[in-house]
Amino acid sequence: MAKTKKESSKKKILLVEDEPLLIDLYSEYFDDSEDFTLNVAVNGKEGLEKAQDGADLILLDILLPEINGFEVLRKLKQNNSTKEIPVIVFTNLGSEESDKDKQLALSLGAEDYLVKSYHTPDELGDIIKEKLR
Amino acid sequence: MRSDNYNAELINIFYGYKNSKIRLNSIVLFLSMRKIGLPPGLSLDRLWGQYINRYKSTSKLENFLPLLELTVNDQYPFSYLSNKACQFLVQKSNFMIVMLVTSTESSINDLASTASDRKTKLYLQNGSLRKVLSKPHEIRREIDLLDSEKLTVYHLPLGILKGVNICLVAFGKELVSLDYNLAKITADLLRNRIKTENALESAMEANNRLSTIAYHLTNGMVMLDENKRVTVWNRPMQRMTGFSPQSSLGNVYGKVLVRQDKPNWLEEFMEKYPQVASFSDEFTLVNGKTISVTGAFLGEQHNHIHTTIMIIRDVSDQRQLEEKKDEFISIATHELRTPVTVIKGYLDLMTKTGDELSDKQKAFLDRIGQANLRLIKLSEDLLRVVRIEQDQTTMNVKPNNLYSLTKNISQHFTIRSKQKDVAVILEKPEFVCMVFADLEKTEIVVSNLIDNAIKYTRPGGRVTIKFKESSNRFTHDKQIIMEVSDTGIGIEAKKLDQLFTKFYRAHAPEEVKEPGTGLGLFITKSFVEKQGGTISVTSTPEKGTTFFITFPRVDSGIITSKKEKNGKDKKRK
Repeated sequence: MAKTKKESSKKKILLVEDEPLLIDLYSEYFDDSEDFTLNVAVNGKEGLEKAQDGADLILLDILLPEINGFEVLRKLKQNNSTKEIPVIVFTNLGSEESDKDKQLALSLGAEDYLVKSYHTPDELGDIIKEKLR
Repeated sequence: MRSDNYNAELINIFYGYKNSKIRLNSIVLFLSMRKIGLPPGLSLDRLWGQYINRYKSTSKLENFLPLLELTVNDQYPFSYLSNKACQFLVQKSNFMIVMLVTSTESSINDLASTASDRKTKLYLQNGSLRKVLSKPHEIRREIDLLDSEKLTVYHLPLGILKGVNICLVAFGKELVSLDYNLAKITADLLRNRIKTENALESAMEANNRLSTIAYHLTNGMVMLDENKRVTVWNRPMQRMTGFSPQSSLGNVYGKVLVRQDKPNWLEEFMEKYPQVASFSDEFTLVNGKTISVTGAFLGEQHNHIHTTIMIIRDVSDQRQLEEKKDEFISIATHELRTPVTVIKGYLDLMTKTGDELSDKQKAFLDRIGQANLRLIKLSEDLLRVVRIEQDQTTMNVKPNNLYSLTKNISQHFTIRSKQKDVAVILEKPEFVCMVFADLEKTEIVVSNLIDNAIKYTRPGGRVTIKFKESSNRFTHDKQIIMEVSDTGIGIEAKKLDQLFTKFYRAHAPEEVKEPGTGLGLFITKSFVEKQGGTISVTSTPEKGTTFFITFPRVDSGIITSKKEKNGKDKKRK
């Protein structure tokens, strides 16, 4: 595993996700990535805590235990230390076709609304790179 | 003075017979004319009115004649009457009019057997009298009685009422022309009365038949008069609305078919579609019930002389079940997304690090990937259908360049069209192709149409996409028509109507070896129409199919400068 970039120059991604199969999949991709390091929070509360530690971008699931994703998003955008972090809602809820969940997410300040099953990890990486450019 | 007594007695007879409880099947009016005397110029109904006047404060014949009805309806007794009647006939009068409700033999026998007076009995038992009474036509006879007296009988058939023959008979020892005339006039009046009764009865029957139908219908039935007031409101309507027929009749429809969103829904519809004679609609009442209404306007609408008739069905349970079904599909397909995401993700990771894989293994992975894609497409289509049916599809309609959008989408099909050897030709329009459309949904629409066209075209064929300027036939608003035509296997005319319905596939899967859910065109049509467009299709089997979609056009004046910039595009890709 040749890594050409230094750890410090890699972008810090926080993935808020409770599904172990998906955590494994994205860890696999991001751990091998030259561009990103991945931090995982397995519920909304942990997501809010880990966001305090700083991140370049947050991938946020909606159907989460304890605090749901919309609520997490609202809180992230209310908090001064986290409100500047771009958030991509990354979920298997709803659709990317401008329906109500997407509209709610965008109105709460999400950068984008992505449905997981539409994208391979690679495509997701490209979209993140685009957003962080 | 004497005549007054007779009159009083006559009235007593009427009332006696009317009040008695014994049932019998024949009866009768009496008149002692000779004794009363009929003053010149006194009409019959005034005369009859005189009788009534003694007991009631009206002199109208109408109030008297219901006796006829009572006689027939309730079969009032005659034994009580006949005693008195016979006494009357024998002792005090030499003229009597009897109205027999039936002219059958048995009723004549009844009359005879119940007569207590011997003389009367003899009259009635006399065979020649019976003969007279059984004639179907008017007849006047003198009958010899046993004691060598003569009895004159005048028989006038009146007609049939409620299935019973009715005749009027005048008896008398010495009948004069006045008696005959009186009998005749009475008969005429009664015939008219019977005619009216019969007409009324058939009208009632028709009405009853209608009420019976309405009553026994499991569907609701409502009729409104020209003022939109309820004239018919059957039992099922009470179940649906809570309003009983009694409380609904005479009310304006809006008070009993209460709709929160549109209180005057019927007027609104009629204003919107003044030429339409029938309608169907589905909506939710304030009590939460969802009803389906099919209605028709009878008569000339613009003259406001018309009746509205509606058949109404309670579809609440059905809708609730559908909601549950949709909810289930929604949950199941959302759940499905996680495993397909995982499969998709690892497949991609494996092919990216694919040096250690053999070509065969790579081919297998490719097939797993294709199968997974099909699974994804199916669940996405199902979710779209659920959203359409629950009316949750929101449209974000903005100006979009339809040509550029189509060009992007068609590029997704490059590999597939090459593999199948079907050329996809996108004709660049001469005008700026700006339309009002929801970007993501229009991408799905265009993608579905190109996908279908390739699917149903044999190798060597071609798919052509064109754009045309046009205007709406009714509103004259400017629009753009997009045509997607193929040289494919085509669709039979009889199948075209169903093409846009859910789960409908014009070709059996074994006929065309292409996967599909039968949801694509349903989704396409919903999306197009929700954006204010239309979709239509023409097809010739073995020649090909063309779909036409219209989009509202963005006023071209604003954006003409853009036209020059992307002017040169190759027509064929």
